[in-house]
Amino acid sequence: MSLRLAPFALGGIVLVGSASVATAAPPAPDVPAPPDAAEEDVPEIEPEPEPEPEVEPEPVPAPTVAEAPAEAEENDDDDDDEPVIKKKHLTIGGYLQPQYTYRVRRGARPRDAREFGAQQTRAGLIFSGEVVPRWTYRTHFVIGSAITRVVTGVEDVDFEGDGASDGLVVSRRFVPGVDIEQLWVNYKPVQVKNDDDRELVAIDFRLGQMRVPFSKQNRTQNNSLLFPRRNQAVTSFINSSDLGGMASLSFIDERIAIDGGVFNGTGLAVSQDNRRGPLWAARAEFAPLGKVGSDESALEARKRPLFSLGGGMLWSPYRLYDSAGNDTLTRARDLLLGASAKFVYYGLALQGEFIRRQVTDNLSDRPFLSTGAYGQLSYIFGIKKKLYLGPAGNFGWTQSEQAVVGLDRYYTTDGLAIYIPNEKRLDAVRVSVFYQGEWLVDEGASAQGGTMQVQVKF
Amino acid sequence: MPLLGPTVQRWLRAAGCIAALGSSGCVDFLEPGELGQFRYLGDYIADEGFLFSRPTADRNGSVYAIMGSREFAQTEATVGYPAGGGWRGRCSIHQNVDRGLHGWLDTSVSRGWYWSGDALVEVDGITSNCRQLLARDPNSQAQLAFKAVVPHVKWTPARRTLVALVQSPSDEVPFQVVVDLDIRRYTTFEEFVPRNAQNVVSLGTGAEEATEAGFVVVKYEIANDDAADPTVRVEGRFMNDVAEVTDIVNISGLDDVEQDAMTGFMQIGDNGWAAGVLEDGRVLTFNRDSARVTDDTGALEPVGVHLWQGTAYVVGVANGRPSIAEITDNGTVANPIVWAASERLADALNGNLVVQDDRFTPIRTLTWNSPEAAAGSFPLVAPNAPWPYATDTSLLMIAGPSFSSGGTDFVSLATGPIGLSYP
Repeated sequence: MSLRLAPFALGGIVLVGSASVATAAPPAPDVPAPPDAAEEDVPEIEPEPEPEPEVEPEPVPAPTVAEAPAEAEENDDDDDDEPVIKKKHLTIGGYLQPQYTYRVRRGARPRDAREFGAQQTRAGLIFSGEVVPRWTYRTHFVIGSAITRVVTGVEDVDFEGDGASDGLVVSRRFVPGVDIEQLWVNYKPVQVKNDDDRELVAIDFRLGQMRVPFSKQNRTQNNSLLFPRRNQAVTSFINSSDLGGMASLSFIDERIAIDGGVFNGTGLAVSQDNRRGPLWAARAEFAPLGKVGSDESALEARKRPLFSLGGGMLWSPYRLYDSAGNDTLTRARDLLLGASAKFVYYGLALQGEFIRRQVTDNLSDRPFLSTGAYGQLSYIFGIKKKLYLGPAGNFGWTQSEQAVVGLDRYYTTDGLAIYIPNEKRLDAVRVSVFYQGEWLVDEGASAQGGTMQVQVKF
Repeated sequence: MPLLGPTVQRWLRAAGCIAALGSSGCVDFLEPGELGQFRYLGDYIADEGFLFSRPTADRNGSVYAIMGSREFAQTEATVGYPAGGGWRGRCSIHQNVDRGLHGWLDTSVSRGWYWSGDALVEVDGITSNCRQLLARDPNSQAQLAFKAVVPHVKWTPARRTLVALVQSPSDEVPFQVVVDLDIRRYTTFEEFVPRNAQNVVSLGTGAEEATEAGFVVVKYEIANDDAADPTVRVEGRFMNDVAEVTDIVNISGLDDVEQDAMTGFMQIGDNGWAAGVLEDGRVLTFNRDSARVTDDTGALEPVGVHLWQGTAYVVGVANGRPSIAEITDNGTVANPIVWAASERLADALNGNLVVQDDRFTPIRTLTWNSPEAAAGSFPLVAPNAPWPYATDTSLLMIAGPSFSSGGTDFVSLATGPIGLSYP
């Protein structure tokens, strides 16, 4: 038995059983087989080149299809796998997501009643690597032809046609742009393994831009979603990654994972320019049968059941300033709570989340309260060699501004995804066609339509 | 039988509160009659003819206050930015010296709309800018008068509209229009029927949530061929969100009332009865089939009609105490009872009240001694229903210290949240 911690690892860590040396090895590939696929139908996995072990090299067990555990994933933030270029210091991967949407909005102005086009098309480019042992990095750029909304003109307008100016109309349009999804450096000072190479304890510190540890789906990367976009029950509360730092503590192959950090708060769906205060985030997840990855798509085809229960919290006490920068004496508290559950078994994947938000302050006596929840279901099965089908559906609900007059909104996305694997992964190509509906009950509006997305991972 | 017993529910609630809100506590709303933090609004002319209409708030939390008069062509609206960001803007747009202020119509995410005289005015809750909407017909350039405006804005993420009756000087009768508040034009219009109507005026308007529109009580004349006095008709007209009249009910006994006879906006309860208080103290109630005018309300001196959780109430004063009487399913006014929430508010105001002055920085606090409700003899006993600011919470305008300057009396006003309940 041997034990080694990083030079300035935290002291006082109690180790149980036979712990072995941490090797900082990359995760084993995680490509399970779909349940209905015969053994020969499963795409072959090329063995990954093993990185040079730091000390005392230990054999890394070859991945076995259908049994490769999800806990091989290092972190929810890293759930893309098998990149096209993989070196120790630099790994390049990514995805393309062309998407065409047609939607009819009832209650909209005639010009806006029909929405169609492929403006939601986007691509992701991911660079990652391990520059020295225990020090990893990742940058994830999202590129799109219509991703950044900019002001293209300001016009003096005369609404009433009387020759007098009635105001200004600002023209905006989406233009090509680059969004930063991830940009972080991770340091793993502690990684304790036993003789079976199972990770008993691991500690990570991460700094940069990342998905905050709160909502399970919010942490899922764009190319690992089951549907073309995140459920609006989630994006109504938190809709992007954030800048900050995070510490992670995990036990027993991440069966117990605790993340906590402090962020800028720029990813919240509702924010104000003149608020100043940190955003504290924490999430804990318990998966007794093994870590359930945040990947929502084809990779959930396990031959043994897995489930996880999780909970998260965002807490942001802040001060409000007026437009001149003076303190308004208002002290506010923004609190979000979330709970999630996920179950995967033999191609079946069930996932649900509940989120509650409340913003209170010392002046207005008017709390901002919102609640949302969603559930999603998918089942993946093979119909022939190298072709898998995955019917999927979800349903989401939000009620915002509950302290005033609550606004109920319902969302659903239902359809079918076709997965075409390659030698690297099952979802190398995914063609999905979904019906999308949303009903804004209290606002008298609704939208229904369809969307088709082709996702190519490389 | 509930799935979880009360004990389990209590434990779950407690656990949720502890887990969720460790440092902020569970969300507590103001108790009925409890005062929140009041904010200094400004100093205004102290004139009994002035009407301090109900303050409102938009979804962003900006507070809108308006001062004016039913008798004089004077209006002044201002915006209180959320969370103590100060008060900005003094909008005084008004049209037609023969009509006074009607009050705030509705708000949306960051805008509010008021109706004063014949003018429909938008106030921006972010910039505090205000502008008159459709002052002129975009086609004919004729000046438009908003004869009646339904106090409800239908808003979706895509557009905001309301229903109104507009008329230009050259029009024989008004038009029922849908006003698109974003592009500031009317999008659909329909001529008032009968087209031979003359002197069409509005006695009052009200909103109906179920139809996303509301109703108007109109009075008009039909000329007789024999040169006798014209026939006077008074009708309650229900309209839908595309400005179509869906139901008309004849109202008798109101031939003698004048334009804008209602003290405030009318209300309609879940039982389908709309109600309004006339300036002479009578109460008009009507549904889609019939109407009645109640001359005798007993000890109750009606002031206005309020709506609370689907029930319309006539509020007023009875035996020197704030009182309230329900509109029954028959359209009658029930016996009044004392309005406890109003009395509790009056008691709460009877002392020292700390008021935050955030008009300018640095923000400071002042202590007002025994301020009073700015409108009405008792808090909440006002022509217009309190604005639904938060759960069981509304806004109240209070009058504090007064002073004279240049021979004119002024009074300091403040606005703040209050706990609210109806019997």
